[in-house]
Parts: sequence; C-alpha cells; structure tokens
Amino acid sequence: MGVPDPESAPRFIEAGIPTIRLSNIFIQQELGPEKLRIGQPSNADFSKVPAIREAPEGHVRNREAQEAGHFFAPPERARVFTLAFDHMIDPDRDVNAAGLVYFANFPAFFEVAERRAMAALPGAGSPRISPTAAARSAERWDSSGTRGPMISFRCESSARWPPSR
Amino acid sequence: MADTPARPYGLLWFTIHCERGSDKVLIAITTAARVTPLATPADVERWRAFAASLGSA
Repeated sequence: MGVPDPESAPRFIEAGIPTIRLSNIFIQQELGPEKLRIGQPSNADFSKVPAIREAPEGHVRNREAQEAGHFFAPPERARVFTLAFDHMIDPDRDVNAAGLVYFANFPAFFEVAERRAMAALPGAGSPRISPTAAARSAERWDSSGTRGPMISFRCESSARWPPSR
Repeated sequence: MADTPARPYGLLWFTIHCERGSDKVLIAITTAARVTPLATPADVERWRAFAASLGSA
C-alpha cells in the first residue's frame, strides 16, 4: 500500500498506519571506489517521482549528531569511558561489488565495537551482564575509498546506576 | 508491551564513531541505549557493583 503524496502521510500515521520513506542514491564508478559520482540510470523514468521540498527530518538529526558527537546524551551522573580499536575489513564479506564497504554490514560492525568495549570496561565479564538492544540511532556517511584494510572505532560507553524502576 | 524492558533494568549507553582507517575520516556514528533486565536481587546487586566499578554515581 502506498502513500500517494507526502501531505497525506499524517493521515495514515494518525490512523495508526506506519509509513515508510525510502531513499536511493545511484553511484557511478569512474576509476574505482576512490572516485565516484552520483548518477542516474539511463533506462529509468524518474519523472513521476515527486521531489521533496525540504530535506528529510533525518538529515537534520544526522547533522546535529555529527556536530554533537552523538544522537542522544549519556545518562545523567554516568561516567563516560572512551575506548579506541581497529577493525579489519574482510574483502570477501564486507565489500560490495563497487568496492565499497557494504552498508548493511555496519550494524554488525557496531555490535562488534560494543562487545569489544564491554570486554574492555572495568568490571566487565560478569556472565549476567548481557545487554539487549533497546534503542539505536545511526547514520553512515561516506564510505567511498573505504576498501580496507581497516576501519577504526572510537567507542564511548557508560552505565547508569541506580537501575531504572 | 513487547518493547518495554523488564524493570528494574540496567542501562548501558554507547556512542561509536567509525572512521576510515587510511585517513581517519568520520564515516559513521551510532548511539545506542541497551538494557539488561535485572530479574533478581542478585542481578540488581551485580549491576550495582558493575556500575560502581565504572565510577558511575
């Protein structure tokens, strides 16, 4: 089921029907993953796809996160630890046909980073401390030229006490 | 609700900056809040000790 235009989306949302907006960017490889440009397929008609008048709300959130360094602040009274480590790119698993780090693998990269951060925190390793996902915001910007051998993580982490009730 | 964590629960906050290895250009940021359900008094005590070891108030 599609929403015919952005103006009607609120009616769907108010009725409890979620709406999804998808974005696609087509890239053309010129010399390799180091030199790319945005392109458009020559055999597709985009004339019926309406242009949006304003940047999506996510664009603003992403820019603010880039400036603030996070999407939302750590819990109050929490001491924040900063850890850094490298992650090797697996060319058989992590790179797409264009030679770029595959975007869909980034959630796995984040999970790896969190597990490594957990292991490096003081007091970590308790068998009962096994966090489950509650909320995540993420944005990936430009991974062009990221063909390996590694990406680096800088992970900030904290825990809150007392526990929420 | 299915997405409401069991209470009480411990909260871990992560922000990860992902940089390109060759030139340290920032390519991604993620922030996550993760919960650990604390089902028993022992779980609560273990979490209290964990948070205390991190120096959190």
